[in-house]
Amino acid sequence: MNEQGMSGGWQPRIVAFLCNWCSYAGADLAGVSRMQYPPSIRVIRVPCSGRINPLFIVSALQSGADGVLVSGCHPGDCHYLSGNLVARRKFALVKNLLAHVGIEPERVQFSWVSASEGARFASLVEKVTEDARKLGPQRKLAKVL
Amino acid sequence: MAGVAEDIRRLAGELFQAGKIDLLIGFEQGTGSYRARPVFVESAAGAEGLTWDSTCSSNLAVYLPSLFRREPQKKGAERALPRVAVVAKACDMRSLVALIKEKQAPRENLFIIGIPCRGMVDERKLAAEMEKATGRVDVTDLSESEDSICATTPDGRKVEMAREPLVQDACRECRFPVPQGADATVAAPSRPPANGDDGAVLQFSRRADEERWKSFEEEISRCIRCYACRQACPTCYCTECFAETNRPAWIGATAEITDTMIFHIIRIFHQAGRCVECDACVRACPMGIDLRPFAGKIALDVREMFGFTPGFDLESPPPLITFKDDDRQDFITEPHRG
Amino acid sequence: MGMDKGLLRRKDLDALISAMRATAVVYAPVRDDRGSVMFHEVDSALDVRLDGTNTLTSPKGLFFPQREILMRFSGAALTNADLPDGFFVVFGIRPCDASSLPWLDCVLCGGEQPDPYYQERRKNALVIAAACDRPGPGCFCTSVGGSPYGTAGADVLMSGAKEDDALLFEAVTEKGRQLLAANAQLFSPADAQATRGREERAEAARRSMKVMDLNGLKDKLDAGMDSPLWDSLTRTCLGCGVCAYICPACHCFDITDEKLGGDGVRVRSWDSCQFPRFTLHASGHNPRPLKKARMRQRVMHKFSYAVETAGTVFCSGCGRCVRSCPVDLDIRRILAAFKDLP
Repeated sequence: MNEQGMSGGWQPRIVAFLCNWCSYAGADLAGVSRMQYPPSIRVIRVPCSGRINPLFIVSALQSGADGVLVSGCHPGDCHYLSGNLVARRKFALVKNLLAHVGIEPERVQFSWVSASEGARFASLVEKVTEDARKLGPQRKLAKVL
Repeated sequence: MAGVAEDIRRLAGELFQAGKIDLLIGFEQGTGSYRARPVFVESAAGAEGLTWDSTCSSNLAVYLPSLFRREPQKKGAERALPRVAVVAKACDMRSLVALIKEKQAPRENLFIIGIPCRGMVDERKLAAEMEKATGRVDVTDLSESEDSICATTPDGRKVEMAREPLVQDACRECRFPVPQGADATVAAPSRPPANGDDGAVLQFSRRADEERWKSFEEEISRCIRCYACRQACPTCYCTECFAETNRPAWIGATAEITDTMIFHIIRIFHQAGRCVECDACVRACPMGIDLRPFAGKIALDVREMFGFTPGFDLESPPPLITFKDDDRQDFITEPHRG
Repeated sequence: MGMDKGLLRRKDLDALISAMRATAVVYAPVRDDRGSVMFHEVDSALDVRLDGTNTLTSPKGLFFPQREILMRFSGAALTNADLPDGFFVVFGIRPCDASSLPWLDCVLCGGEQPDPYYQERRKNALVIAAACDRPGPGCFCTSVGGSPYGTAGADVLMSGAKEDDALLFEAVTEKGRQLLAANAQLFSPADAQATRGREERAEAARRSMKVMDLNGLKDKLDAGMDSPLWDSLTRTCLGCGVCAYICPACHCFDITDEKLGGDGVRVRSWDSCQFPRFTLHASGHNPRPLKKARMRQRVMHKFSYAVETAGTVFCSGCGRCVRSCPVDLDIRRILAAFKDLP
């Protein structure tokens, strides 16, 4: 990935795991609605936020991501009824555990975005990018070969 | 303590003679270091060598999943599962419950001999004490009375030490020193339960972010990836571990620091709803890595967020396969607008 | 030209270490903040600990690191990793650990394809052994052909490490003689009394150890491949890799590629025969599916196969696996049980 943005300065790289049914469609809507948001994210589509394995998150950080965003359907809206609700427990634990060992909490963020929330998606990416930019490059879990 | 060992031997003898068990997992006198050695006993005669003392710290529940794991059986010609007796301290008992809950051991095939616990002796504290007293750590024999431990050095010197200061930190923080739900409980003294207010996790969590990271990194940098922590953990029973798969190769195979950190973070995460804070991982580590401040976090969070304490009831579902509508979600990012 | 032996006053140890540091990195046993003694780089004699039984982990990693990058690739471009350079001194290694080095040589440099990384480190190293005056209860070097004052694998043997004010340095190899000659101003001639003291201490150290008679063990092991003892003696094994990873003689390794984006490295890493995946075939078949087969392999490799291929056992009796096994498996019990078979 190219570290230099168009402005020439350092740009954070965010890996975004989006669920197929809501958040990915929300991102799509932001795109077709021509909403502006930072080009910092690399999207990985997953069938459901329940598919997220915490290993995905730490692997992204190990591969050099400066931030990770995980987003699924709002509670109650899950295409599989409760995938996001079971996932929510995992997310809470992962978020806490990573913060506990000293990874900045803003590095890994979780949110809910529905298929109709293009604007919410755009501002979410803005926030996650801004948080990562404030923190600077993520080196704690990034592997150097 | 001698009385406890006698009771275990007597009980074991009776169980074998009555034909109630095929196998008993307990402890015998060790030879290599300060610890008692786990032993598999298959007859009343074999039970004669069983022992019990303050170094019986291994969590014997670790042996169960493999005993009940079988190749697919031909219908009508299934081999019977073994009937196993296990000597279990209170924390081991909780691991057994966690394993039964996750169908790694059938309750009806187990005979659990519960032992109320006064806390186990920490080898490292004992070694430090011996070094202070004699200039070297070597011990050839350990004996104990109510409140003291007596160690003999290779040159025959005897060193008497108070027991309580030698007890493992995890045991000092133990909130449940008496086993619940055993088939037979041996009469033995137990320590007063701790209130769980200010353990290693809370102390660690009060430190500044960067200090915590530094400490985590330092601790994990000692890791040699021998997997003793995983192998000693009763509830780490997967037959294939994410740390060793090569398709996908989640992490590298060496002690490279980010690989080891991820190994520990994820292994600890996988213990959510399982970890009974028995300290088996810490005791097994040859490098003396103290995982408690990190591993204990997951037990604490599961308790505080989902109201679940592993190792007691067999009925409620494990916390990570279920949910509540009002589970906390204050950690969910809300963007500025939208 | 060289010098065979000399006495060094304890207070001059620092001067010797400084002199060696002029051309080499010096590694020695150092005690860390939690009381573990391990090999680390030192810059003075202040931190060097020679009084314990042995270091927690074996110093084999100084020659054969747990993680060794062999190649780097970027896209289609492939380059070999640079050879390690720079002289180093392994100061205060115990004779048991030093005696394991020639065995690692056998495996890693013995065949047609010597390992260049290992070979280079061996070439660049000076090994100064510290004789062992207080073998621990887990130690059994005298049962496997070693000795607390053994010189195998060492360039210099240093003794009197605890009791005396002076340390006796005895050169074992030409490299060792050169070290003594180069620092001749620090050494005084070793008189008869010093040599006698050394003999007495060596004898006392040897006598303090229980000797297992392992004559004929190989035949018993070979005949006992299917013995039920393997099952009964290894049932409590947890299947971790502690014994292999802290062993000075265990040398099995794996080679894997690690990749990030288009770049990557080929890495050689320690592996252990105690891990089920060690022998797992691509087909899914595993010739050593049970832990008794895996522990049998570890013992057979050291006490039978090595005798056939290298003419010696691959166990120095350092006792680390005895001390650090989480379930006190104690390899000596296995050896004794097979030795006692009719």
